[in-house]
Amino acid sequence: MNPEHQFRVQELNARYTEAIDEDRLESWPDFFRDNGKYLITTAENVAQGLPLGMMYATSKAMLRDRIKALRGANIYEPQRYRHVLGVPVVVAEDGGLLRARTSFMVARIMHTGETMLFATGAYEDMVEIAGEVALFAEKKVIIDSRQVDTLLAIPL
Amino acid sequence: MERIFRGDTWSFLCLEAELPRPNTFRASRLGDMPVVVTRDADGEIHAFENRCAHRGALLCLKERGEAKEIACVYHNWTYDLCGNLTGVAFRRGLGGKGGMPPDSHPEAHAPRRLRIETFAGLVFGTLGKKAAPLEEYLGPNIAPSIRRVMKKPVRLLGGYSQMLPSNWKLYMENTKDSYHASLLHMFFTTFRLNRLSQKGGLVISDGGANHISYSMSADAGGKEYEQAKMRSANEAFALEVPEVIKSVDEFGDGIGLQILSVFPGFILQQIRNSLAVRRIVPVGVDRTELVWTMFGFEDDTPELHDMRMMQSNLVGPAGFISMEDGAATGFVQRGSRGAGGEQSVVEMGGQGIGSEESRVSEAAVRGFWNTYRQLMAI
Repeated sequence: MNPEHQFRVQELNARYTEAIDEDRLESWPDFFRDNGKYLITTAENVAQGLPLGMMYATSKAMLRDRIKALRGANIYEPQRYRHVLGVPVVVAEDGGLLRARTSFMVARIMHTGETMLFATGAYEDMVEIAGEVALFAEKKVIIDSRQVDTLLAIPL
Repeated sequence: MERIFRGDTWSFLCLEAELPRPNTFRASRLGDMPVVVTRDADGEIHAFENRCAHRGALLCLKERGEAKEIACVYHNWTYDLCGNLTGVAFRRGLGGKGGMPPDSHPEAHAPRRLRIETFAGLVFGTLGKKAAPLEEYLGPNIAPSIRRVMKKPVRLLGGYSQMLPSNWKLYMENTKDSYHASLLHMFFTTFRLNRLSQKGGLVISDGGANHISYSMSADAGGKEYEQAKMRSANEAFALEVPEVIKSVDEFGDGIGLQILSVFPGFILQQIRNSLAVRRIVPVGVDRTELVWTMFGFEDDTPELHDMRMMQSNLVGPAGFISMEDGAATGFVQRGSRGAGGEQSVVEMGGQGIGSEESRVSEAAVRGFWNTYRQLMAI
């Protein structure tokens, strides 16, 4: 494994999750290429080869729509996440893109003070590295459990 | 659980498509009672309690899979796919010692077998001896609208569960509440996917157990929500990628939304081209698992498939439209915690439980509680 590649993926995911955890959701789409893909699905769906998940985007613009809806349209109680990431495993280099897998755990902290383990899973990323800039060409968020408590408003 | 889910009602167990071949099974629930649904070697569908006759352990530990027989892991008692006990390990003992007396009949304690009926690709089961035949239970004004959606061989697209912080009844009530949809869910109103001003109606089965709320896609473009300054009408809100709500009239009747419920815990959803069945599983007094299974049809064109993928953003726990329902039922559960002696007001549309053209009505909610009270003898 090229340690430089591993470091770049790790750094990208670290900055990505920090933006979510610090409620800088408007910058969340900027971690993707313009035609970047995003999917949240379950390990059960992946095991069965089923394509459909809970969030699905085929462009950065769709990610911006997601955040706009969260900020302006959807109703949910104030809450935030805390992501903890594992060490990325760079699986392959694929047409100039790095294919990498990173484990995550996410705690959800409600305004009431309740903290719960909200999700565990793995990011399956395709990362484009161009000089100093690293971007997601694709990010699949595969959660281990099929169960999501109450609602999934903020992206993972 | 006993009077409703294990009584003379029909519970949705799974789609026939979830048992794609002979010798397959799917775990499900009848209320809180675990059940296994199977398709045997001849293609027949069965369902039985997921409980070993011996000591009551779960028989089937997987959600789905293939099997010719099912063996309890605890003491290796075996069952065929109809739920018959076919083998008891060391029944005659070993070397003439131990084992079960000849007059023992463990078969008499076999897991309870459900009566099964399938309707338009949906598998329903009941333990009730007096439950009416399924189609009669659905009602003549409900059954055709199930056939309307389930009109072709189904292709599974994906699934997940939304864990609701509320009693199961609050979700069923929410589903039957045609009044809330365009007020709580801004997405519906803003994009004119569902407004109470759109032509539509409520269809309610005799006695109120089952219902349909539907609306036509066409909208007159009225300003009722804006003039009343409803929170859910936000004209400033626009999408960069409107493909999320782009749809086709695949059923050819102009109905853009049809939410159909069957008492006690089944929902069939058509929101534009987003099709799903939802199964309500009571977990505890204030916890419910809502099992979503999204589907299309085997002959979907790539374009229609892509639309269903895009519209998957509308529903489920992360759905632009439906995420709020998980929270709203929890708000009722929490808000009414200290109000056991109080009553809620369910008087939109008067007191009746009949079908009507207006969806500014809580008739289907009243129908639900009417059925509940009858079964619970309240």
